[in-house]
Amino acid sequence: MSVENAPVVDVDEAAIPVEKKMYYRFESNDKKEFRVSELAIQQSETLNRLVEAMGYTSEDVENKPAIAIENIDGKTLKLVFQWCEHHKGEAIPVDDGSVPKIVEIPEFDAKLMDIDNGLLFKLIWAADYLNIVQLLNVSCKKVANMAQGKTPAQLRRVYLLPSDEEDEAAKRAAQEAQDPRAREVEEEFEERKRQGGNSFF
Amino acid sequence: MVVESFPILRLPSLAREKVLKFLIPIQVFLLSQFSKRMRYAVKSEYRNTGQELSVSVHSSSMLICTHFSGKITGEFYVNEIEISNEWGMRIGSKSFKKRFIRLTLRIYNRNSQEYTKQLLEEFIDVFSFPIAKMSFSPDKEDYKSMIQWVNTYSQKTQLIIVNGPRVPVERYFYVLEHLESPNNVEFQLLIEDHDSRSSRIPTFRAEKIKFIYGDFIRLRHLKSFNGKEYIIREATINDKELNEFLRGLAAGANPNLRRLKLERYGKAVIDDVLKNLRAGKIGEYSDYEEQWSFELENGNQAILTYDELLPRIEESSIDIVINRD
Repeated sequence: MSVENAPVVDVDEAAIPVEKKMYYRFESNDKKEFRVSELAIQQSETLNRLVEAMGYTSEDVENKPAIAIENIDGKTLKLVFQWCEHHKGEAIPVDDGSVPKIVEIPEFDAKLMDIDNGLLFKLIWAADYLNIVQLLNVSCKKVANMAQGKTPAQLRRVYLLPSDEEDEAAKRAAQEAQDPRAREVEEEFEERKRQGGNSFF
Repeated sequence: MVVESFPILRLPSLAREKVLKFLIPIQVFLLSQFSKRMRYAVKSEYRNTGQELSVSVHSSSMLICTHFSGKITGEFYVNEIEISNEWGMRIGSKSFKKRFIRLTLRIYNRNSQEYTKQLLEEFIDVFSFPIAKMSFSPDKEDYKSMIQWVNTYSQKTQLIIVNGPRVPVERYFYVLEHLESPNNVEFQLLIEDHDSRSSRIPTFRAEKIKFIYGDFIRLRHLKSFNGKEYIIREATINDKELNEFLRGLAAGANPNLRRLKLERYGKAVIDDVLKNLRAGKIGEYSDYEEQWSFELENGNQAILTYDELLPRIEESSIDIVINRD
């Protein structure tokens, strides 16, 4: 099944079969709504537990407000649900943590993830948040593949790794942004030291 | 060419752990060297991977391999000969072997042993893999400091291999006296002038002791070991000497020994080997394999198996297993 033909749809785009199979409604943080089959939801441990806990009937699904997913935007959530619909019913892999991991990226997934790295980052974040094991596997594999054939210097650039000095500078900047008074106190302290004072107080 | 980029440090920990575990160990090690933050991430997330280290140290070089289920997942080669201190190899290029890759760290104008020590420390710190095997050659003049170095890892190393070309018997004795290994030790050394020395042979302690070239092992040397298992290939021990050893064993010598295997023993006259041990034949388990048992003074039982290989009689072996309570 191609990415384009995946059954996830925005709620206002098409008529949705609601008999027999239950389709849940979810809303992204930018108010995009999606209908997702019960079977597809099982790919996400987080959502599966959520809908089980809610115990919705078919009527509830239609009549109650869509379930809000507040920290994922519509563009990302669409990819997530497309993936879940395509892989619905598949066994969820058990990760024993060992290496080397052997994960092949299926053609569908490769096409789905033919996106810019900003969106890929959001997709991984969403897969982690929603606990979708295999989507996390394939998306992380794609990130790992970026290291192929790279020199050490290129590796640093590929994974945007700052030096210790850059990290320190960023940390200082973040602290100052959080608490401008801290910088003022520090400057005052330095000024008193210059004037020969032994104690700040 | 535009290099694509991805902020790996901003990923959730579980996702970054997955990315790291998809990478080969060489890439993970390189990443750990870029910054303190990345090093911390590698140390805390690249764990429990089931991988092991094997380390081979020489005077001017060191090879560290990472393994998973017996297969090599990475090779780190440290060599002082090259005239560059750059990490010059391109990872994943076609010049590497297909099944794994090697990273060469070239040292120039530095104390190579110090550098290799530091690098190994770094490896163990970053990866926290168990050391499955550590091998070294006492063939150069710096063998004393090398043994001292190996000793710092002997407690956590499963197998230490002492290898190399011919070494003088004095140097071999130094290894016996100073190598601290409570685990397994395998000697793959050829010893020079082993007949010329008549002074005391040092006691050597290890759980398992194996000699690949054991032709210099005679009765006196065999008695000097203190361990649970000895496997010696081509020992120069005759039936009468072996009988003397077994009688000592029956009388209470070598109280820790649970197994002695003499590989490539050659033709044995079992009546001579078991003389005065009141041994009884257990049976024949194959055309060539026969077993006898005899009792030690403390009531434990020993079983001797003689595997006579024909027509290659020189490859026949004797295996003695002591059932300690």
